Amino acid sequence: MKVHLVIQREFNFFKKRYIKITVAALISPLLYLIAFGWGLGKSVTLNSRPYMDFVLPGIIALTGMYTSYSAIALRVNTMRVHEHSFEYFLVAPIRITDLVFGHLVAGMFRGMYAVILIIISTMLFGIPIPITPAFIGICILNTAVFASLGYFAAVTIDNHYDMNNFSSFVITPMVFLCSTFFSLESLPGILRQSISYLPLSQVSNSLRCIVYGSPVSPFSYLILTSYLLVFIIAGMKMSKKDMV
Amino acid sequence: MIEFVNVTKKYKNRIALDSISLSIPKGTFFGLVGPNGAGKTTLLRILMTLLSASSGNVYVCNSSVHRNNSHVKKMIGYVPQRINLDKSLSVLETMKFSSALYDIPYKKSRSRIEELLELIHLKEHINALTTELSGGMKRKLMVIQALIHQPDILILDEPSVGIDACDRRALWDVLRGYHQQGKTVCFTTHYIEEAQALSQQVCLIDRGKILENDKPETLIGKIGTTTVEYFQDATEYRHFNSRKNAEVFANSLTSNYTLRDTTLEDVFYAFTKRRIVK
Ligand SMILES: Nc1ncnc2c1ncn2[C@@H]1O[C@H](COP(=O)(O)OP(=O)(O)OP(=O)(O)O)[C@@H](O)[C@H]1O
Ligand SMILES: [Mg+2]
Repeated sequence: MKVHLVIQREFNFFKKRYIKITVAALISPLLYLIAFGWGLGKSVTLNSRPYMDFVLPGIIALTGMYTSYSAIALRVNTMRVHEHSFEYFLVAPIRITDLVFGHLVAGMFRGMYAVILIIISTMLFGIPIPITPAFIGICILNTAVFASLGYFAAVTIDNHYDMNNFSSFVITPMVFLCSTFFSLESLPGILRQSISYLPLSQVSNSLRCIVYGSPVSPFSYLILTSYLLVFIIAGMKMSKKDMV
Repeated sequence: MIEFVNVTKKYKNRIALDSISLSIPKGTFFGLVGPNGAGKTTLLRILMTLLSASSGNVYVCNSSVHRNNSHVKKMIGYVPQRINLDKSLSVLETMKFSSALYDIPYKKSRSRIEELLELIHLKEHINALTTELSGGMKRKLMVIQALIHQPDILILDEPSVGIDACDRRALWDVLRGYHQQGKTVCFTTHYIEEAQALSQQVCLIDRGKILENDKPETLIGKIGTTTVEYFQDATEYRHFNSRKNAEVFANSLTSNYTLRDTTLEDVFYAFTKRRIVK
């Protein structure tokens, strides 16, 4: 087992750039919070609740998603395509599972770091968030799903340009559509159905349930775990392909 | 020890390796030479499992190579053709990371790391980031990185590119010393004098096919041990197996000429040119 070596190396990477990473992790969620929360939220209510209660779980969900995805996708793709340092792993006596899980844990760490930062900042502004075990569980599952998606994308896609496209076509739409800023109720039937099964919708809805004081559907855990398994298996499969 | 069996590699419709069968016995100093695009790197990358063969198999000590075969990977040290250092690590961190990957505790590897860094004159840069090293320094670091776990097999893809003359000799010494311990060393190079100086066995490949695979002196014998080099519109080379015949031919020339021992470079030139003409 050499998972810890991968995690150590990523932690080393984090340590050397933690100021940049911290600032980057805070900027966009804070902007969303200011624009949609304080800006819009003051005057809008949704289902007779303040819009802030609605949008905050969405922002926490997308922060976890975006940070864990991009941390791993960017790092692994750069190591593989640009630095070629990923090759060093592949010729060394380390198993593919160690590589996948090492990067997965590193991505989860980066995602949770950003989530914790954003929760602390909202608390500083006096917005209470119920941090229950379910809340933490969903947040962790969220970062795991998207770190594994990031790993899968990074080992599959062979150049930075297409990496960027993947992000534009897959990640960015999710940020805005998956029950983050508006309720899916307002969308037409089929579209609503299909979007509601996307992982980020499951995460935002589950977090919202917790904030509203209702239980999380076990179905959400099941869906998220299935995504996680699929992405991990796909990532392992693609780790065996030819290097560029 | 290393066995390629009918290895073919196709990229879309280009054939990079055409049914290569090659065996490298234990303890051989093996040189792989060939023009640009001959398929040397592809062959080594298939051995290192970075590429998969379109067909055929590769064995190391009778064990088939694949990405999860840690047993085989532990036996090999590999220096790739292009730089593959992690840009966020320092020289020391790079070496520490390598020893950990190969299961050597830092306590044990510490003195070896220092010794290796000393050997390639990188000790004063021990805390520099790998991005702060010059091209040649990076390559030297990659070489000692491959030596950290004292592998039985050392694979080097153009290790001496960009390394200055002094350090190249130092590198040769390292490789020779390593070979003397009974290890197998396999390298590619464009410096034919390097292949001649080091290898016991030279394999000449071009366009994915093995042209020749033999001892350097046997290869030289195949085209003739004495060479007459002269200029007639372009530089021409004639090879003779007896020095006498070479002298007779040289005396009949009207232009200036050089009469010398045949080198591996002549062999390389003769075989690859012959193939182009064909
Ligand atoms: N990713 C790739 N896609 C398509 N063709 C490739 C790819 N990589 C290599 N080739 C082709 O395979 C052949 C062998 O390339 P290889 O890199 O093995 O040559 P080489 O002998 O190492 O050359 P050099 O001395 O320049 O390093 C070349 O014709 C090259 O164009
Ligand atoms: Mg090459």
